Amino acid sequence: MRVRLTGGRVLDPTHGENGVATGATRTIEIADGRLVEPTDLPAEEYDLGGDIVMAGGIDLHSHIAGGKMNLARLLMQEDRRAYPEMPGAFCGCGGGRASPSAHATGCRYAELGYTTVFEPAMVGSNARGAHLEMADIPNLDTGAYLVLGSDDYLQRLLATGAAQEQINAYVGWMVEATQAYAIKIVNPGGINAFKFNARKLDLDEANPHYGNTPRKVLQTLIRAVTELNLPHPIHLHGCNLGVPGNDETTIATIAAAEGRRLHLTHLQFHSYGTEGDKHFSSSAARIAEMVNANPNISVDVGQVMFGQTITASADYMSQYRNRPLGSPKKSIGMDIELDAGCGVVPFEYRDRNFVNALQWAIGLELFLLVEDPWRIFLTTDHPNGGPFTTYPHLIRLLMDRDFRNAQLATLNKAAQKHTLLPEITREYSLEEIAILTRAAPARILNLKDKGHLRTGGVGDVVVHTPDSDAEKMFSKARYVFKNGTLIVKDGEIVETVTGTTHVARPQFDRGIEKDMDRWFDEAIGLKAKHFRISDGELRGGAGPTILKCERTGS
Amino acid sequence: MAGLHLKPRAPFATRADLTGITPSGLAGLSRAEIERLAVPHGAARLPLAELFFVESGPDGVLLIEIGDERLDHVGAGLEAGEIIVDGAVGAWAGQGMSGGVLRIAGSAGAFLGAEMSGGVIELAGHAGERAGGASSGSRRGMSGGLLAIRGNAGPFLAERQRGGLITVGGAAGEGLATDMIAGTVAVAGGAGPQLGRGMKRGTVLLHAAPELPAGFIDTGSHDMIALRLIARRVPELAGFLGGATHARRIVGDTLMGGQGEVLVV
Repeated sequence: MRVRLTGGRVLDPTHGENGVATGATRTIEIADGRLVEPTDLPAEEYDLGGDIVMAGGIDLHSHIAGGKMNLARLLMQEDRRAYPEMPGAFCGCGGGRASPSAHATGCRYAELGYTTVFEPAMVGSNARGAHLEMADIPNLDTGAYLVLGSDDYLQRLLATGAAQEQINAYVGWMVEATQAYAIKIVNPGGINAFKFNARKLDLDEANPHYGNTPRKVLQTLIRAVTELNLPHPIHLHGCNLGVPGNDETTIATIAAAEGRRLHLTHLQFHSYGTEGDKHFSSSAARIAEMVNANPNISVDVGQVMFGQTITASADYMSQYRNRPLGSPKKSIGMDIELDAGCGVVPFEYRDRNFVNALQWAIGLELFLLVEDPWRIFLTTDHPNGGPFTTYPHLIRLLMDRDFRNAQLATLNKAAQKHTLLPEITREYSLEEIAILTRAAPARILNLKDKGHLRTGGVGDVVVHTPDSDAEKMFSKARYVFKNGTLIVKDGEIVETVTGTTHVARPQFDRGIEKDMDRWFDEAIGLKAKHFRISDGELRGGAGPTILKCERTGS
Repeated sequence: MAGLHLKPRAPFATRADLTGITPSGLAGLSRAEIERLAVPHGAARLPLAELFFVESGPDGVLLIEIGDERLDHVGAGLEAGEIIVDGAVGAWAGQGMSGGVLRIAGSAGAFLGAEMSGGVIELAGHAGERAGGASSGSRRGMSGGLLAIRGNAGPFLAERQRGGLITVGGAAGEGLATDMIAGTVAVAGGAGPQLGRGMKRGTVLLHAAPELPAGFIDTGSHDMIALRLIARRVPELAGFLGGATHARRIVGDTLMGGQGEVLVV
């Protein structure tokens, strides 16, 4: 089927095309799910009348699947009660906002104009469940980052001084076996140290049992993904999340990358100083300066948005610390044996609370002080900083300085005195928003046919009607096409389609397989061949979209 | 509101949900608008008049004739006025009501008066499970008002109750007052096993000592002036207490602080 969109102003920062600024319109045509050169062939035509056309949004960090989200759903019946399934004939979506059902996740994202979302923390032992869940999410292409670093196999390798080659082979085997796209490190080695009674672990502090430092874990895995040529750099949730004074750790971590590519995720939670009466302050300016000075570093913010949400993380060391702050007062902590951990704590960010208000301000400071929009991404670390449905509000905060300052004026008074925000004049342009939400994520994820609108690209196209209120503009897309199929019209779901799952296939030394078989037999009690997920298990048998990683260095 | 009289056109083939059909919810609506109100019926929604014969009735009163055990959420969210049901109701009758009176001549399904904070429910028949309790997504059950059950109550009566008074003329099932936070329950006809597990505070009044879990401690019989005061001041409990002067006081659940009590009078 052929779809033709005429009269739209195209915003495609990947190719420097900015129809909003020039006023030029261009016809976009989609055939068989791909963007093609415009033709005269019969097609389903849409006259856009000057509306803005962009590629489908890409969220590179949003917890949408995996064991912890199911735990969050179980724990937060409140969420399902406050946001029940929407009435209406079409979409039997299920409900929820902070921990929406798989179906609601796909539909709510699509309404905002997103068509690709990556689950950033899949633990190996939960990979099969995560993939089954992703297959249940309509309208979105997905992919998952595998959590490594606190797993006992890697810790043992590091402790016995294994060669980098062997570690590369292990990482490659795990990525293939779990059908992952990238490697995430959560609190490098810290989750493992927690199990040996450590309650904090700094970058150069040794694991009480294995003796490995987070620096060693991080540097070894950075080398591994570089040498395996995985498309995305190490996706790092650093040490000391949420601890005042973690700015020093973050700066040391950037230095520890030693010029290699590294992605720091939910940086807002890692940018806290210890100044002031309350010993909690913003270090966003310092961190942003470091990020600006190190082009090998990319970041996403993990903006805090006020209201009820739920936090779910593999970092049980920090979740254990946060348990008493939970609201409603309940939480789940789990040991994922030999793999990682899991902590789920409901949380309500309050605008009258000093810490929460300052967290909000720190996130915005990072957005506004990091200069290169190609290296910073728009996230709330859904649902940890806030549900993804708050993105339109967040976009308005970035694009509208008066609105931002008006919001700031309503927050906790002491927090207002601790932020630079009123002095920052920067306002994001529409083009920069398009970079943050589609072009840049496509580039950092090495998705060559996404995030842009040139021939050959995937037919994921979003049309927004311009509005001076950016929140209104981005809340409801006028049209969303997924692979050329119209799925959203005037902000309402009109169709659900099946997406694909992106996986990376590195080349590695198959000699590791014998050792993996033995490890699974002896320690895990499950055959390695049963742990491995076959292509046919993904997306209801349709299989993944595979990115082959050509091996470069050794 | 001019009163309203609803009579089911036929026995319900599937569950219907009367949320919002209360005297205050109908205030200001014309008869035609009321007849067109969309009522969830199974997976669909039907106009009220397709399910019921709608007629006028006495002022301020919503009368539902015959009733049906598939009629859910009758009087849910009731704020003022009176709802009278001639027969049985389904689940969640009077859920979250804050005022007014709900009289039910038949029996009720699960979650009768769940999370109610005020008003009166009078049930002539039997109540299903978790009456006065908390439904999914709420950590607190009934917090105020009166829930008077003339028949028997099902399992987990007063689960997580936070306040208010529940009286039961018959017996109560297992798990009475589980995780109770505060409030009072009086059961005339005896209670099932596993009463009061996780009870923080609150009072359960009984005529015979029940089987209690390990967290309860018998403190013996006491001369309690409070009993006479309650009998005088709380008419709903006067009949239950009679002229009692002494009560055997069993406290628990000590695993949760032990400020709850079972009084055997």
